[in-house]
Amino acid sequence: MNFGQVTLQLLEGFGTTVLVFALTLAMALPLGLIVAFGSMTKFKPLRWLTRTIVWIIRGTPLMLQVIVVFYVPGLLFGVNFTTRFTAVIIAFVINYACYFSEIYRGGIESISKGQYEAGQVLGMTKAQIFFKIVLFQVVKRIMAPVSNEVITLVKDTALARVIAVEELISASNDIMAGFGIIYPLFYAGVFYLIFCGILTVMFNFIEKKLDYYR
Amino acid sequence: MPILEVKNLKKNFGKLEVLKDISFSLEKGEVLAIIGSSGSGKSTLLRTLNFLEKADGGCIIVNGECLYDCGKQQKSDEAELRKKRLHFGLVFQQFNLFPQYNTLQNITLALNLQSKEKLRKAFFGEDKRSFFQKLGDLPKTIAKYRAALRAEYAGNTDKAKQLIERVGLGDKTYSYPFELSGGQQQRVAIARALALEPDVLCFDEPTSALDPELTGEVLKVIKDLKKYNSTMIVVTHEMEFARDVADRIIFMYDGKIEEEGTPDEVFGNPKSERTKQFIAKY
Repeated sequence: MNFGQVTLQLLEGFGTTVLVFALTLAMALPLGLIVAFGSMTKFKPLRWLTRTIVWIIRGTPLMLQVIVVFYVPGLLFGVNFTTRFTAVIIAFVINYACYFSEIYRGGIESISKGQYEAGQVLGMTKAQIFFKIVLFQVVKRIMAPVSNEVITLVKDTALARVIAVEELISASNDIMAGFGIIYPLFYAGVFYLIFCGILTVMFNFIEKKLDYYR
Repeated sequence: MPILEVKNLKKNFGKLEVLKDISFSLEKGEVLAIIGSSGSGKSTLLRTLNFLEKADGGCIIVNGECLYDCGKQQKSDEAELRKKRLHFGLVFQQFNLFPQYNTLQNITLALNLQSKEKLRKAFFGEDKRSFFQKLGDLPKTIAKYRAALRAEYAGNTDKAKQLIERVGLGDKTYSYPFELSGGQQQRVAIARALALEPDVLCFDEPTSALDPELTGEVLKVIKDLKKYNSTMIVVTHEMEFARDVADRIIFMYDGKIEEEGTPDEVFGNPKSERTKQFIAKY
């Protein structure tokens, strides 16, 4: 297997990696906000339920969660996932939504009460206060922890192979096992490195954009 | 008719009675200064008037309209509450400007949101025609709505710019709060409160967070507002200012009005022993 062929095969795996990454992010970022509201609500049963779920999700390995999502519905109810890929996405979205929710919660709770009160005495609705005043300040404050989490996600996608979803690491592993060459594994590392490099540059750009006020 | 009447206002935090039976009234254009040591309930009184705290008793009447009456069952409808709040304006000790908006945007934000709400209702709300008729000229309606909104926004911007001039910050129109000194920030906050044209403008220790050399500029702005016939309640520790600007002084002690009168009466010839002691400290 020559270098070109290895590259092509790794690119195929990388496609899946990027897809898992993008879909997870697109769904977990908004879902995290809903979970954050759940964990802050004044309605106690819902708050404790949400916090318990967040505790379980953050307290167990993502690898285990992927396995549970894929196998447990079949074992309990006899319904199987049509594709393994869907199971991976569901597990990842739930997991990352919980992590994001805690970041959001910290951000939202760090905004001073005075900002809410200023909005209230100006006759603004709760929704207006949140979306026009609070949210933007939260976004600025949570940018650093969110970028951290996003970069972790890039590498967590490798866990998809635990239920045999063919992503970057498993692609390189296949070549290694099949042809007895080890360099594709390191080559895969370069893919991750470049991907994270691009993300880092993007986050730096956003942080700079948000830096117009303090 | 007084613009504001407060009758037997009560507020408790748990078992702690913070306001005990506060009653006073205010005529239009009058400036009332509230003095007293910390913990006497001054700030709570302003917060209760602005509906940031819910009173536990008594009533608040503005322009003859009863905004809050503890005797009656009140609907705690958010829209109602917002309407009531707009009778009052509040300037905070810590300014509480919105850091992501510049001076102009801080002032126009609430105005623009109100314009939007008003026009949405006018253009899309009370339309009794059939769904298909509405759908037919929806593009036209949207175009008209957008034009009307632009006009309203332009009006709001003009109004805000006038207010910015009035508080003497014409050259800071596009500055962000972090670029302004404390005194300048507080002046923006005053302009922001004025923009909504409240019946009564309340100041909660407006100069307490400022360096001494910056208090003057803020007090001057408040003093100037008297010319515009603004009705104001100022909670302050600046005795000189209270004496100079206020038409009436209330001295609060332990959640009650200990003494009330003109500046000359309260400062010159206090009746209560506690007032005497308090004033002697300044």
